Amino acid sequence: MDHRVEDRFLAAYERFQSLNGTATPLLSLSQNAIERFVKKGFPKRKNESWKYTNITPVINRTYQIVDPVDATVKGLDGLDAHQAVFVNGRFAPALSKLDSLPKGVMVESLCDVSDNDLIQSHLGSYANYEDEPFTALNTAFLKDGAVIQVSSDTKLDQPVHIINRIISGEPAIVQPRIFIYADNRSSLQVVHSKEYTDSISALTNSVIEIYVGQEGQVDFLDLQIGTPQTSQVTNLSVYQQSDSKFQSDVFTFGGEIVRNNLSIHADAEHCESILNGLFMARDRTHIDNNTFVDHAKPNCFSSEYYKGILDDHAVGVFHGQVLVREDAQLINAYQTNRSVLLTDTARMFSKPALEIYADDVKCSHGATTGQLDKDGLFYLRSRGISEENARQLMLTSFAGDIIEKSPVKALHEMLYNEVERMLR
Amino acid sequence: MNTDTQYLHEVAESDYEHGWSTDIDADTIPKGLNEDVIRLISSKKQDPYWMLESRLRAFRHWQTLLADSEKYPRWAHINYPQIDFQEISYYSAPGNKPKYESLDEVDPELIKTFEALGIPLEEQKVLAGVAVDAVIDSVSVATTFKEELAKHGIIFCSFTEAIENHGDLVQKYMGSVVPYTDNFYAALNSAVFSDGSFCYIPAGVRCPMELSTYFRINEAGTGQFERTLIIAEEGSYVSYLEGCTAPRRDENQLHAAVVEIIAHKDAEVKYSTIQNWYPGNEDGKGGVYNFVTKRGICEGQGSKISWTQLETGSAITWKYPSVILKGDHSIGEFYSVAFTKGRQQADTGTKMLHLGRNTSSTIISKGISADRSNNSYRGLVRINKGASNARNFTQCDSMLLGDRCGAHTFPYLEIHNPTAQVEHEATTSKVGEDQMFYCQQRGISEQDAIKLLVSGFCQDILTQLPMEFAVEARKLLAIELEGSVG
Repeated sequence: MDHRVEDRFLAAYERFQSLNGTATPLLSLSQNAIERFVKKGFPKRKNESWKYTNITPVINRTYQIVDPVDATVKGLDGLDAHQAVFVNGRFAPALSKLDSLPKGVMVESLCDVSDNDLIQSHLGSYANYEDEPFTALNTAFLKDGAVIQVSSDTKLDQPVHIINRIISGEPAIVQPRIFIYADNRSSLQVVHSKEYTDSISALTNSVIEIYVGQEGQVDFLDLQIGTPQTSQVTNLSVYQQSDSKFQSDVFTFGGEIVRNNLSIHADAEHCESILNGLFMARDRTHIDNNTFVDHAKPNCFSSEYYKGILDDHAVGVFHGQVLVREDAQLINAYQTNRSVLLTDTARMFSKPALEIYADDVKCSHGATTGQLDKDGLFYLRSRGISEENARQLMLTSFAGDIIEKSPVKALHEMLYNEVERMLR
Repeated sequence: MNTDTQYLHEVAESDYEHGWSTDIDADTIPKGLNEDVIRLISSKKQDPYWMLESRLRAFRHWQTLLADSEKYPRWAHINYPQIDFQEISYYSAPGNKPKYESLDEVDPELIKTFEALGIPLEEQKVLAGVAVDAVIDSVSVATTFKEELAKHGIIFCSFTEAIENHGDLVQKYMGSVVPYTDNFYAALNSAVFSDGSFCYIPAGVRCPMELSTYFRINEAGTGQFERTLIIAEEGSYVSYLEGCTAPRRDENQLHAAVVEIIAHKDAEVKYSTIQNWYPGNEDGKGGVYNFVTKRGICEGQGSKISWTQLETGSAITWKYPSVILKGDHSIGEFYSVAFTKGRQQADTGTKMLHLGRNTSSTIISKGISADRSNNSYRGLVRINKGASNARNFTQCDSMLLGDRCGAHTFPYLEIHNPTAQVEHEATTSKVGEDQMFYCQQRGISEQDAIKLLVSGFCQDILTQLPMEFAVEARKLLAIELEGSVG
């Protein structure tokens, strides 16, 4: 039992590839990634960006790579969307609803388009598998995934909803992959959610790559509803062209360990990047949001707003980093993190960092951690509202700030219900 | 903004004002570090046996850190070549060994040095009422106002004297706040420190004057390893000033000091620093490496420790004056201005560790970077589980004067208690063009306008400095700023 845990994954990789794993056109990418993964190994807490999150217990467990099975999906209340369903990582056309996609929009399975020029030249070039071991692991086990391609000047009126359905009787590892290419002047909204079988124990390791072309706009909403047995690692990498807009909304409700790495590369002028997040945790849930905004070119704007509510023994981590490179003048970058601790045992670690090498910029960050405003509570109680209801009201409005910012209006009600469920 | 950059160049190229060295015979031991050197330092200092023991313990620990390259601290946002610890001489004491009773006995060369620095001992003694414990290199050569202080029962002397005369106090408190295992440079300091200052304020005494020490690094290739220990007994108050300038040298000089403060119930310690060591030339050659561990503990209820610093010198500054807020209702404060230019690198900030109930801390940090320098704020605020109703306010603002410098902020907030209120704010910006325009339009020259604006930017901090220091600080900042613009 003295083997490195990475060796177990390497053995699994060899087994996986011997059973028609990665499609031939992507095989060399996968081989590079596994090499890199073995070299880097899983992150330890000595690593500055994993300082507050110990992923080792989750990694040390034994997981099965599960095959697709017959399944049903629930979808999300109130959401009318083009739906692409993946069961245990494999595309399930029977469950998907993609008939009404407008012209110029393609939602496909990676298996079907792996030799496509676009995939060949872009897949794996935004999600950094050199330094991020989880991305390397996902890339090594490349098989299927969602590919969304929007041609220039095309605008979608309905969101695309990607559902990852995870079904397994035994502990499972599933590694979803999403690639979105929004060409010049196109616009779309994508919602990503997972559905688990009850009481499943699972680790999902998602990698999402998004390319936003000139004057394009992409809104990406990641809904992460977990149980104490499900852990999620998500690496979302975005590459922005000039005058483009990108917005990410991450909603995390529970889970065992949840780690989000969100990295934005604004590589042209006049980009706008908005990163919002709400995380709610109780029991022993550990939620770690790691963001990195790389302002490589001048005249860009970025804004981050993360809020958290932590109950019981939950732990929250916010680690935001904004990098303004030399000569990237006239950048406006804002970072805010607000957290509420509800119990003596909940903990919050916040590290909003700025790294700035250009002088004509406006960057600011703010972080606050505390409990509910006593005056506010008193006011509500003096109006005859019970303490419990007053608390609920205040926390809902605290969380509501982030929900209201999400452009996918159809999901607001569902998100409020989820907040209420977490506060109960 | 061509004129602005031109000004910048002028400043960058202006020579270090306090760059000369004094010719006094010094008792320096050869370069290198091993157990024999520790024993030699110890015997030169006429250490008691327990002191030698403690040095050796620290040295052995330091060797294990040195042997394991992973243990060498590399996490700071600074870049410098590996230091060869065998290329440094670890002890240098001015000649004319015997202790001085009065200033007349002090080597006249030394007096000249101080006068060139604008701090004539004599004058200060009379006018400012400041007791000066002047440290040139590693041995205290002059201590004044001792008798006045002795009347109040205050002990203010060199560390060597303290070991000799107040061994029990030193043994009890030394290493209690910064143990030798704390970090690489604390271990090195604990092994080789040659001298420093010791200060003991008895219960209920308000120190009648500001205690002050001037440090100067004086021998080429000599590391300066100071050790300061301040103990404030129940209900006492002391304000301690530390100010430094060093002559220009080509070699990098290593400075690894340790400062420990213990504040008992209701005691208050105010520690102010001006650091203006040689920063190296504009290509980044030479300059002092300043790796300092400063930490205070608010041991008793209602105690208070306040750090104020103005950092303008050193090629590299690596310094986090911290406060452990152990006593209930204790208060920690950190006020800092860090100015970097040329190729200076500063990674500085603080740690506020809240352990007691109703503790509060305030952090205000202002970083100004120019030329090709890098200036980082790195600060930790930790609210422990038992620290209910803890309060922290942090504000760190950076100003960039030039487009090749960097300003970084790395705050860490670790909250383990729901009743905590922790706020952190940071902004980064350049000197506002509208502000500049307004000043210039009122007939204020560009250069004066910048001085005005930067001085306003730092106002919060400078007002925290004691009178004697505030004047010097403003003067220093103005010299440093001469012409800088964003």
